[in-house]
Amino acid sequence: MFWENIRMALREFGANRLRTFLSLLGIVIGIGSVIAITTLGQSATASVQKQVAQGGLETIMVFPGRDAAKEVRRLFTVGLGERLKSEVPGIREVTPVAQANYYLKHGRDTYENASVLGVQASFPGIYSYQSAEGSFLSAEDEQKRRSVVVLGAEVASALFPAGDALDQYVRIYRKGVARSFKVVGVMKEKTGTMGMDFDGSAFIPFETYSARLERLENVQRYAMGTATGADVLKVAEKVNEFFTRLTGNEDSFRVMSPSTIAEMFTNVTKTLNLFLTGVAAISLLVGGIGIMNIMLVSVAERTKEIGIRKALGASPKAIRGQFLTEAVTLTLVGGLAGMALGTALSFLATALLKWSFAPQAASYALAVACSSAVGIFFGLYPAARAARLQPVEALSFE
Amino acid sequence: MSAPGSSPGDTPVVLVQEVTKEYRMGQETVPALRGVSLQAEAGELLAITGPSGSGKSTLMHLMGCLDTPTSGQLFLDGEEVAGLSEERLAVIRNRKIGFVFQQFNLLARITVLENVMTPLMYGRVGPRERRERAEEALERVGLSDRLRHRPTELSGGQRQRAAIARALVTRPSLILADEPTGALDTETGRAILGLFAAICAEGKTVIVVTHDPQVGEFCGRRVHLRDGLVE
Repeated sequence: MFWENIRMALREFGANRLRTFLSLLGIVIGIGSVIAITTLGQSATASVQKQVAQGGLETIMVFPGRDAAKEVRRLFTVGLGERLKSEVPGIREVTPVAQANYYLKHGRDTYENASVLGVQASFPGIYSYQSAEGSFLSAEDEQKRRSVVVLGAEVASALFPAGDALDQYVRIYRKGVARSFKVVGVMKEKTGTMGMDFDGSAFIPFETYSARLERLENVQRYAMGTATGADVLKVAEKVNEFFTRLTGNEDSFRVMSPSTIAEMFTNVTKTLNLFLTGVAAISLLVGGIGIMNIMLVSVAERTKEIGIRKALGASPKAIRGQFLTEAVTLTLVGGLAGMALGTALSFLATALLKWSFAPQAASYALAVACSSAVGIFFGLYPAARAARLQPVEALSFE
Repeated sequence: MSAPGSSPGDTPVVLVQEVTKEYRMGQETVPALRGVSLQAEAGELLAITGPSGSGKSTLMHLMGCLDTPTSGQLFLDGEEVAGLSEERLAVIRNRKIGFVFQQFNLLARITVLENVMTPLMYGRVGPRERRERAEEALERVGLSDRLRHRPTELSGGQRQRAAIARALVTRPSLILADEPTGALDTETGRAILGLFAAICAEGKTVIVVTHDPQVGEFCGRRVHLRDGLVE
């Protein structure tokens, strides 16, 4: 009788297409949200993990706070970097970083908006960044404020299509005035992470940056590499303490690491999930009430049919089964549509955010369970009402 | 399930003893039947006649186990049915009784064949046997060429034949027909009555409820009701 019930239900829907469709919207949205939540949650976690792994979990950055007073900003010196390294356990390397966008040129080849970074020799060690040709900036380049540059992969291939960058000169334009730098190295390709676009960057000694490009009052940020095996969150905590002692104010600086970013991201994802779970729950509730309503209408309209079926020997149980099956079939149809919708939405969202699309079998199982549960819960009362109808009264219904 | 004509000769198919039925209308109780007794044997074609309001429909509902009497006893094939549960009554309706209605009462959304198969589904007969028996029943009433049609695609007489096939398909011992010719023209009505006579000849009991004296005359025996009593 089960299959007959499903067949009868589908036939009913076929005869009332518009009504069926409208009554399903709530379920479709609810189940769509369930799928979107779980898929997006998974994708977000996966892509954050990937980014964190690429960025190297071991880096920490410190910035002076946006509202830090001038006196406080002056504390952010090059020498402070050295102090950090010696005073905070767990820090392996430190470099001050200065950064701004400039226009780069070699002959007729140009590269607009290259990130020019003033850094020290320790920089590649912090980010596990490798040279392809020549070598990275040396401590001597820093001391002697040499006008040398190391190019990111993309910048190098844009300025030197022939691949002969070493020992050539690149001009960095500042306010229309060109400054010439000798290329001493070209780096390998590296995926950008945490606001760092390696391939689109050019690196010059920190002191040279301050002397030739932009007079720096203070260090814009410090990048630190932690020792292998150190707990980055704990080291970040220590760095935090160090700067609090130094400035006397927790708001005058910011400490950031992939770990803290990942944590922040997880919190955002959690909040988003909570929100979407709320949307799903409300939609399923509203959708369920819609189902109950349409089932009550259906029972009322088909009173005569119920009377006929009872006369033919349908027991109250059989009638209840028929209408319950109809309600569950209805919500399952809605659930399927919701799954399609949720999958499409999360696919689009992940494509836009460049996350990996990671649909979960478990979430589809959850969606099926939710839609059946809604069908059973909200179908029970209309079905019981149909089952309770008195045969004589139902038969005489016109 | 009882085979056609299997009821023992001395057990009446229907036995109604001093049955009353009262309806509550607000504060008042309205008596519809005030102590009716009758019996019908296997192979009998019995007419229950009477004007509207005489209680003949109520009596049919009671005999059809669609309703339960206020007092009195009611036996089908020797089994007491007054006071049985809804679930149990459904089983009895399914196995022992076939209904034929004035307005045919076929289910509009499904085919003639599916309509005839429906009682067997409730009787938990397997799908293959359902189909075979439904085709057999439709052949019996001369509708073999209309299996896949919807009820709305049939004429009145054909619809009533389909309804009779549906009543016969469970091989019940009793067919209850409520004004079966009421929605048909005279000639078609005669043909339907002829079909009932043939069914009786196979040993089934057919009880026709009607206010049409001509239909009453056609039947072998008549029970006339007036004001809830047998006249």
